[in-house]
Amino acid sequence: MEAVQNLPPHQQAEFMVKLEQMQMKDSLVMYTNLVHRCFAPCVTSFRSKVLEKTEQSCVENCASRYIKLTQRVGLRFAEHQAMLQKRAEQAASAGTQA
Amino acid sequence: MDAAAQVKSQLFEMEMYSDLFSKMQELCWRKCIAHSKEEELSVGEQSCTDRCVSKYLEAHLQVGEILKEQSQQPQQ
Repeated sequence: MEAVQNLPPHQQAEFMVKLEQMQMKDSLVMYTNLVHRCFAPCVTSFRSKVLEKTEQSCVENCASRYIKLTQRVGLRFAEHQAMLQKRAEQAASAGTQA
Repeated sequence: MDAAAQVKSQLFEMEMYSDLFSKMQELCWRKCIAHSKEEELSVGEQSCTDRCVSKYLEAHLQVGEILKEQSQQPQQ
Protein backbone atom coordinates (compact mmCIF):
# COMPACT_ATOMS: atom_id res chain seq x y z
CA MET A 1 0.00 0.00 0.00
CA GLU A 2 3.01 2.33 0.34
CA ALA A 3 3.17 2.44 -3.45
CA VAL A 4 -0.22 4.16 -3.40
CA GLN A 5 1.05 6.88 -1.07
CA ASN A 6 3.88 7.61 -3.50
CA LEU A 7 1.49 8.31 -6.35
CA PRO A 8 0.55 11.84 -7.36
CA PRO A 9 -2.61 13.07 -5.58
CA HIS A 10 -5.01 12.74 -8.50
CA GLN A 11 -4.04 9.11 -8.99
CA GLN A 12 -4.31 8.42 -5.29
CA ALA A 13 -7.82 9.83 -5.50
CA GLU A 14 -8.54 7.57 -8.47
CA PHE A 15 -7.33 4.58 -6.48
CA MET A 16 -9.47 5.50 -3.49
CA VAL A 17 -12.56 5.84 -5.67
CA LYS A 18 -11.96 2.42 -7.23
CA LEU A 19 -11.30 0.92 -3.81
CA GLU A 20 -14.54 2.37 -2.46
CA GLN A 21 -16.44 0.95 -5.42
CA MET A 22 -14.90 -2.47 -4.80
CA GLN A 23 -15.94 -2.31 -1.16
CA MET A 24 -19.47 -1.28 -2.03
CA LYS A 25 -19.76 -4.12 -4.51
CA ASP A 26 -18.38 -6.56 -1.93
CA SER A 27 -20.95 -5.57 0.67
CA LEU A 28 -23.81 -5.91 -1.82
CA VAL A 29 -22.57 -9.34 -2.87
CA MET A 30 -22.25 -10.33 0.78
CA TYR A 31 -25.83 -9.24 1.41
CA THR A 32 -27.32 -11.39 -1.35
CA ASN A 33 -25.05 -14.34 -0.50
CA LEU A 34 -26.10 -14.13 3.13
CA VAL A 35 -29.77 -14.26 2.24
CA HIS A 36 -29.18 -17.26 0.01
CA ARG A 37 -26.99 -18.98 2.55
CA CYS A 38 -29.56 -18.67 5.32
CA PHE A 39 -32.68 -19.27 3.29
CA ALA A 40 -31.57 -22.67 2.02
CA PRO A 41 -31.22 -24.49 5.37
CA CYS A 42 -33.98 -22.58 7.19
CA VAL A 43 -36.92 -22.42 4.85
CA THR A 44 -38.10 -25.81 3.73
CA SER A 45 -41.89 -25.63 3.49
CA PHE A 46 -44.23 -23.41 1.53
CA ARG A 47 -47.56 -23.88 3.29
CA SER A 48 -47.78 -20.15 3.73
CA LYS A 49 -46.45 -17.14 1.90
CA VAL A 50 -44.99 -15.56 5.06
CA LEU A 51 -42.09 -16.92 7.10
CA GLU A 52 -43.15 -19.00 10.09
CA LYS A 53 -41.78 -18.11 13.54
CA THR A 54 -39.30 -21.00 13.50
CA GLU A 55 -38.09 -19.99 10.06
CA GLN A 56 -37.73 -16.37 11.14
CA SER A 57 -35.58 -17.22 14.15
CA CYS A 58 -33.55 -19.72 12.11
CA VAL A 59 -32.76 -17.05 9.53
CA GLU A 60 -32.00 -14.51 12.27
CA ASN A 61 -29.62 -16.86 14.06
CA CYS A 62 -27.96 -17.90 10.83
CA ALA A 63 -27.35 -14.30 9.76
CA SER A 64 -26.11 -13.37 13.22
CA ARG A 65 -23.67 -16.31 13.22
CA TYR A 66 -22.41 -15.51 9.78
CA ILE A 67 -21.79 -11.86 10.59
CA LYS A 68 -19.91 -12.87 13.75
CA LEU A 69 -17.86 -15.32 11.70
CA THR A 70 -17.04 -12.59 9.20
CA GLN A 71 -15.92 -10.25 11.97
CA ARG A 72 -13.72 -12.89 13.55
CA VAL A 73 -12.16 -13.97 10.26
CA GLY A 74 -11.49 -10.29 9.48
CA LEU A 75 -9.81 -9.78 12.84
CA ARG A 76 -7.54 -12.82 12.51
CA PHE A 77 -6.76 -11.92 8.88
CA ALA A 78 -5.73 -8.39 9.86
CA GLU A 79 -3.53 -9.77 12.64
CA HIS A 80 -1.88 -12.12 10.17
CA GLN A 81 -1.28 -9.35 7.64
CA ALA A 82 0.22 -7.14 10.36
CA MET A 83 2.53 -9.97 11.37
CA LEU A 84 3.67 -10.47 7.77
CA GLN A 85 4.23 -6.74 7.42
CA LYS A 86 6.32 -6.67 10.59
CA ARG A 87 8.35 -9.64 9.39
CA ALA A 88 8.99 -7.96 6.05
CA GLU A 89 10.10 -4.76 7.80
CA GLN A 90 12.44 -6.69 10.07
CA ALA A 91 13.90 -8.56 7.11
CA ALA A 92 14.37 -5.28 5.24
CA SER A 93 16.13 -3.53 8.14
CA ALA A 94 18.29 -6.62 8.80
CA GLY A 95 19.23 -6.53 5.13
CA THR A 96 20.31 -2.88 5.28
CA GLN A 97 22.36 -3.47 8.42
CA ALA A 98 24.27 -6.44 6.97
CA MET B 1 6.37 0.60 -13.68
CA ASP B 2 4.60 3.82 -14.52
CA ALA B 3 2.03 5.29 -12.15
CA ALA B 4 -1.07 4.07 -14.02
CA ALA B 5 0.26 0.52 -14.10
CA GLN B 6 1.04 0.81 -10.41
CA VAL B 7 -2.54 1.82 -9.57
CA LYS B 8 -3.82 -1.14 -11.61
CA SER B 9 -1.39 -3.48 -9.92
CA GLN B 10 -2.44 -2.27 -6.47
CA LEU B 11 -6.10 -2.75 -7.37
CA PHE B 12 -5.40 -6.30 -8.61
CA GLU B 13 -3.69 -7.02 -5.32
CA MET B 14 -6.66 -5.68 -3.40
CA GLU B 15 -8.98 -7.80 -5.51
CA MET B 16 -6.87 -10.82 -4.73
CA TYR B 17 -7.12 -10.13 -1.01
CA SER B 18 -10.83 -9.58 -1.30
CA ASP B 19 -11.20 -12.88 -3.13
CA LEU B 20 -8.96 -14.65 -0.62
CA PHE B 21 -11.04 -13.25 2.22
CA SER B 22 -14.37 -14.37 0.80
CA LYS B 23 -13.11 -17.87 -0.05
CA MET B 24 -11.60 -18.24 3.40
CA GLN B 25 -14.80 -16.98 5.00
CA GLU B 26 -16.87 -19.47 3.00
CA LEU B 27 -14.58 -22.37 3.81
CA CYS B 28 -14.40 -21.64 7.53
CA TRP B 29 -18.15 -21.15 7.68
CA ARG B 30 -18.70 -24.52 6.09
CA LYS B 31 -16.11 -26.33 8.20
CA CYS B 32 -16.80 -24.75 11.57
CA ILE B 33 -20.17 -23.05 11.84
CA ALA B 34 -22.70 -23.97 9.19
CA HIS B 35 -24.42 -26.85 11.00
CA SER B 36 -25.06 -24.83 14.16
CA LYS B 37 -28.44 -23.33 15.02
CA GLU B 38 -27.55 -20.79 17.68
CA GLU B 39 -27.27 -17.02 17.49
CA GLU B 40 -23.84 -16.87 19.13
CA LEU B 41 -20.64 -18.66 18.21
CA SER B 42 -19.66 -21.25 20.82
CA VAL B 43 -16.12 -21.32 22.24
CA GLY B 44 -15.38 -24.38 20.12
CA GLU B 45 -16.64 -22.66 17.00
CA GLN B 46 -14.53 -19.60 17.78
CA SER B 47 -11.38 -21.71 18.17
CA CYS B 48 -12.21 -23.62 15.02
CA THR B 49 -12.54 -20.31 13.14
CA ASP B 50 -9.20 -19.02 14.44
CA ARG B 51 -7.43 -22.21 13.45
CA CYS B 52 -9.17 -22.33 10.11
CA VAL B 53 -8.01 -18.79 9.26
CA SER B 54 -4.48 -19.56 10.39
CA LYS B 55 -4.25 -22.73 8.32
CA TYR B 56 -5.86 -21.19 5.28
CA LEU B 57 -3.41 -18.29 5.25
CA GLU B 58 -0.49 -20.66 5.79
CA ALA B 59 -1.67 -22.73 2.83
CA HIS B 60 -2.02 -19.53 0.80
CA LEU B 61 1.62 -18.62 1.47
CA GLN B 62 2.80 -22.15 0.82
CA VAL B 63 1.06 -22.33 -2.54
CA GLY B 64 2.57 -18.95 -3.39
CA GLU B 65 6.02 -20.36 -2.72
CA ILE B 66 5.36 -23.43 -4.83
CA LEU B 67 4.13 -21.30 -7.74
CA LYS B 68 7.22 -19.13 -7.51
CA GLU B 69 9.52 -22.17 -7.49
CA GLN B 70 7.78 -23.77 -10.44
CA SER B 71 7.93 -20.62 -12.49
CA GLN B 72 11.68 -20.33 -11.88
CA GLN B 73 12.51 -23.88 -12.89
CA PRO B 74 13.18 -24.55 -16.55
CA GLN B 75 10.40 -26.45 -18.32
CA GLN B 76 11.19 -30.11 -18.98
